[in-house]
Amino acid sequence: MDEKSLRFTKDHEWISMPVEGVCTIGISEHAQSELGDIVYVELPEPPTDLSKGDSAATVESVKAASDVYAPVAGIVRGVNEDLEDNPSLLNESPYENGWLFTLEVEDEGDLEELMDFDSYQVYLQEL
Amino acid sequence: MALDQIMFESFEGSDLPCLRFYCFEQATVSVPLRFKGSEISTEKLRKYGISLCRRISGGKYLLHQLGLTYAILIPKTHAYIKGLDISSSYRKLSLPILEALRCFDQAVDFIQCKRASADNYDCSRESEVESIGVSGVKFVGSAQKRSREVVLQHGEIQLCSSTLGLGHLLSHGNPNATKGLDICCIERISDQNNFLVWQERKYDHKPSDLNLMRESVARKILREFEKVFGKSSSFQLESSIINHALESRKDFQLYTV
Repeated sequence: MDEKSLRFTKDHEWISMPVEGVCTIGISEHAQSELGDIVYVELPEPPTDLSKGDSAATVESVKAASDVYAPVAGIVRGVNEDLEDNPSLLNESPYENGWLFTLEVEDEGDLEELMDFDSYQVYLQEL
Repeated sequence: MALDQIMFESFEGSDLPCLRFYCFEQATVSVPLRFKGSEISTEKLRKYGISLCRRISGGKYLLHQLGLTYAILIPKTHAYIKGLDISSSYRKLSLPILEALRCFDQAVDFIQCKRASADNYDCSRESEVESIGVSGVKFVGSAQKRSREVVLQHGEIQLCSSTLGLGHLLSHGNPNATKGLDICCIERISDQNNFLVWQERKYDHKPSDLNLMRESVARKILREFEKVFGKSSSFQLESSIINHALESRKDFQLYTV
C-alpha cells in the first residue's frame, strides 16, 4: 500500500481509497512507533456496522492499550487474521501486512474530509 | 476494574482529572486484554486463594493483594499531559505518586525494570516505560488505556515489598521493625514470566494496619496531585454508573476463588 495514496485521521488511522466500495484501514507509522511493541490486537467482527468515530478495534502494546476509530461509516467486511498470531506486523509493516480490517464504506465522499499524506505530515510536525 | 472501564467510557474531554483509590477484598491478579486462559493455572490460583480478573489496559499481569490500587483519568488535552508521548505521559502521571512515596523512603525513584532476584520478573521489554521502585526492585506496576479524549492510568502500589524502606510503613515508623519480618517467596503461578514482584511476607502486625497504611499512602498521593491540579473535591458517581459496573463485573471476573 503506497502511503501517499492513503487518507489519514487526526487519531492516526489510515484508510485506503475504495476498491468496489471497500476500503482497508490501519494505523500509521507514527502510531505504531508511539505505541511500542504491539502484543495484541482486538478486531471488530464482520459484519459490524460502524459509524464514523466509533471505536472499532483496540491495539495493546507493552506501554498501553489504545482504541482505533472508524475513519468513516461503513460495515466491517474482513479482518487481518494474521495479526492474531503475529501482532508485531503492525510495527513491522503498518501500511502493508499490518492492515487491520476492511470496511464497505457508506459514503465515499467522507474520505475527502480526511488528510492526505502531505497534510498528515504537516499535522505530525505540529503535534 | 469494571468501574475503571465504565468511568473511562463515561469520561468526556471536558471533564476534570479524576483520581480514584481502591483495594481488592481478595488477592487478585488482573490481566490485560491479550490474556489467554491457558497462561495461568487455575489449580495454582485455587491453591493460593487468588482470583483472576480482566482489565482494559495493557501491560503485564498485576497482583492486587497487600497494596493500594489507584486510577487516574485525565483528558488528553489537559495541559499536564498535552502533546506528550506515551512514555512521557507515564512518567508525568507517576510523578505525584513517586513524590508521595518518597515521604516514606527517599530512595524511591523511577527505575528500569531489573531482575533483582530469581523471583522478580525481568521487564526488559518494558525498558521504554519507567516504573517506580527502590534499589532496582519495582513495586508500583501501572498500565494505561487511551482513547482519543482520555488517558486512564491505573496500577498497584505494593505496600509490602522487600525494601527495608517501606518496612518502615508497616512498623508505624519504627526502623527496627524489619527484624520481625519474615520473607518467603511463593512460586510463580504461570509458566510465563509475567509477574511483577512475587513475594509474600508474614508480618507480626494486625491486618487493620494495612488499611491504615493504605489511607496514609492515599492521602499523601492525593496531596501531591493537588500540588499539580489544585484543590480536589470528592464526588459521588451516578448510581447508573455504579449499577452498570456491578452488572459488568461478571465480564471482568475470569476466576473467583
